[in-house]
Amino acid sequence: MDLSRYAELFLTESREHLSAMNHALLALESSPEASEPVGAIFRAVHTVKGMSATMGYRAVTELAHELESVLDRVRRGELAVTADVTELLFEAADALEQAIEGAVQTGAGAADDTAVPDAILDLIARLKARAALATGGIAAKQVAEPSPAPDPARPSHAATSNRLIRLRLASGTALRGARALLLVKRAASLGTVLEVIPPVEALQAEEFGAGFSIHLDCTAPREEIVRAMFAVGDVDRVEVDGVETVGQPHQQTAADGQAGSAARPTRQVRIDLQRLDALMNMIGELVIARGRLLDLAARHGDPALDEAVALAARLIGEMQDEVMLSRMVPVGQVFDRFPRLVRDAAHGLGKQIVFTVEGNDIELDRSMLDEIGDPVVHLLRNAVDHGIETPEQRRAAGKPASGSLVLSVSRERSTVLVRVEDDGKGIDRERVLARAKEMSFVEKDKAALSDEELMRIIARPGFSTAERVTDLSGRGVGIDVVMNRVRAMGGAVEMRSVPGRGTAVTVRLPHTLAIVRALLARVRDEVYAVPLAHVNETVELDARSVRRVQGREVMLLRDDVLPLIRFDELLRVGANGAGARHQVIVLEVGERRAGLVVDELTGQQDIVVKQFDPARESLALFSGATILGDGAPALIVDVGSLL
Amino acid sequence: MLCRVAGRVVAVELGTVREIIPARRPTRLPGAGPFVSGLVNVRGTIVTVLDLPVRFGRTEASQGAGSIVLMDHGAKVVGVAVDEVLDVRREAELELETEAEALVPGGAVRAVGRLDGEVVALLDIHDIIAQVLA
Repeated sequence: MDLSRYAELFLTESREHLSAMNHALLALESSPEASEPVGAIFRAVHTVKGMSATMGYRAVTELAHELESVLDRVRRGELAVTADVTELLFEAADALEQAIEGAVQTGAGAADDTAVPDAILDLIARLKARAALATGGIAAKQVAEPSPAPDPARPSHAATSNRLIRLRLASGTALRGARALLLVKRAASLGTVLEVIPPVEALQAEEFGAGFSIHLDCTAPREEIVRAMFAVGDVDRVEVDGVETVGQPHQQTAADGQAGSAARPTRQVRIDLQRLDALMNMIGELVIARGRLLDLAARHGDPALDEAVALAARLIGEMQDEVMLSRMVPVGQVFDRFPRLVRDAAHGLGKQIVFTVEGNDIELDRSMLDEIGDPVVHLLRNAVDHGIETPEQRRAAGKPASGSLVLSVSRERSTVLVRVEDDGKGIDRERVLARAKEMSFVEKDKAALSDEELMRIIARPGFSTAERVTDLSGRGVGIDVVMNRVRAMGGAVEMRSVPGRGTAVTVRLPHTLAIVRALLARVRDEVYAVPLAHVNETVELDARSVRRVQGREVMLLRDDVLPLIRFDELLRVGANGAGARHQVIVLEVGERRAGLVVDELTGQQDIVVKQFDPARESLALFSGATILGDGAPALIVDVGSLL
Repeated sequence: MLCRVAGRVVAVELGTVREIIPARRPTRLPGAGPFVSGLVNVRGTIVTVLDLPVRFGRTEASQGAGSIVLMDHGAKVVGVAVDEVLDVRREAELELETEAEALVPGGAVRAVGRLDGEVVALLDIHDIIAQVLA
């Protein structure tokens, strides 16, 4: 019997429970008297225990079991939540996570009785000691196994051999297929399984209702069968040869007074991300085909054709929206692990930090969310490590002892803003400037740095002012990694830092990675796509409004001076003759603006972003390529790299 | 596989050849050397195409004419533009003479052989591709 196909599911579900556990732990740490967090941790640990027992992951099960015992003592008020208890629980949560990942990776499944790692044995011992201490040295161990209800009505006949066992699983059982298989396996240990209804394959695929039946050839007494079946767990009812035994409600669930997450109705299904990606790719192609269809229909001028094409076009548009929406997930899915991360980092440095996350429910494309995690971690670590001061330093500066760190997510037009803001000491401009001069990034006589310049300097690869290398950051990688990642996603980074008051870094991201609205611009015989998210407006280039300032070409646009970028020069295609007309695309990223000079604007279009393999020495001005309505590839301009 | 490239016959090992498609106008890749034709669309995938005749000394880019040989290069798919795909033969038929250097500047010719009286250069095409791709 193969349980490995459930490993991935087990892992995802466990991660959710671990995340819930970490959250509750943080809540417990801030208010040790509260009972709600303890209950939440208990439920999470209990579910993980049940699932890992099903999967046969021994280390995880044992660890969860001991953790449960300690929590039980806490719940009964026999153990006070002191700082070292919380620390132990945090440690146990980490160990549990490692044990889970380890078990899934090595595939230490069902029959495999792999040795429990030493580190976990050690933690188990400490948990045991903790639980024992609470009860004054008596290590009373609770066995969470429901005892079968005695049924004296009908004595068992050892002589009966062909038995019919009907089983019903408890509602809300996780990994139902695996649980059912486990029951069949258990039954097989008592005798010979003659038949399973529905067949095992159906059980495996979770294609069965609340219950199923096993025809078993065995001589074991009825009570033994009943006991064996209940021992597997998550069994609601066992019926042997027509005599029914109803299981007692699960001990912990009853104690909590609520079923917790187990009973939530399933209105959602899990879908493999690859399927969604495939769907997204096809929609992308469909969007391109739509463009081509509309082109062709327009040429024919047949009203009936126009109508049919318009309908198809509208449906494709709606389908695109739906698929996009199905890929959106709340940022909380990734951001939920940050409170724990910040807490640990702050503890390690002896700093006090109040960390708030705002806009956890804002949704982002799944692929984008995977990408943004690491850059945000970098920013948070930077803030904890370099931004926020120690309590002593803060008091001396007349600030409250604990620093504030805010991670907020918000929407703005077609972009999503992720901001990391601290109230720490701000970036030391003097030191950055001095170091920048040393490394000759700036002129020797430069007096001060603007926010813009400051960011561009610290974003230079290898630039770091950290005096010591810490566990957290200061290895000279940091903001440049963030910049590169964000740019690769078609986004931009802005920074504002006030000495003594703190630093805020804002990451601006497009809504989705896959399809973006773009302006198509022609330069000579080649068409380029410029993402509309960064386009402010377009104007015709008027030679009379062009000036030269410090060797750079600028254009007067209303009351503003707009630096111009001649795209043809950048692309190294020959200049076209004097008198040719040009268009200017006014680009804006954060506070930086520039006008991109092109030959002609050819329209707007939804484009599907695709990757291409750049050649050596090809210009790093493009974030990807797309396919136009006529089937030809076009390069997508990376606006961030132009400004 | 035998191809005509800038007036010569070259051989490329068939193992990593995926498909041969008619040449189409590529989208220029700014900054890349003349040996890079640009990007083409192959059923929704964007493929970078190298201009083999230019690599073999022809001065003008081979736009639109000839064929593009699509090959697996590691995990990537790369296009190699040639003037004409001629034939597929066994390596044994080529009567290879080893270590013939300097037929093409920069190496990349693994051996030279003769087939039906004509000189054939066996290319190390993946070495050529690796020299060009970033």
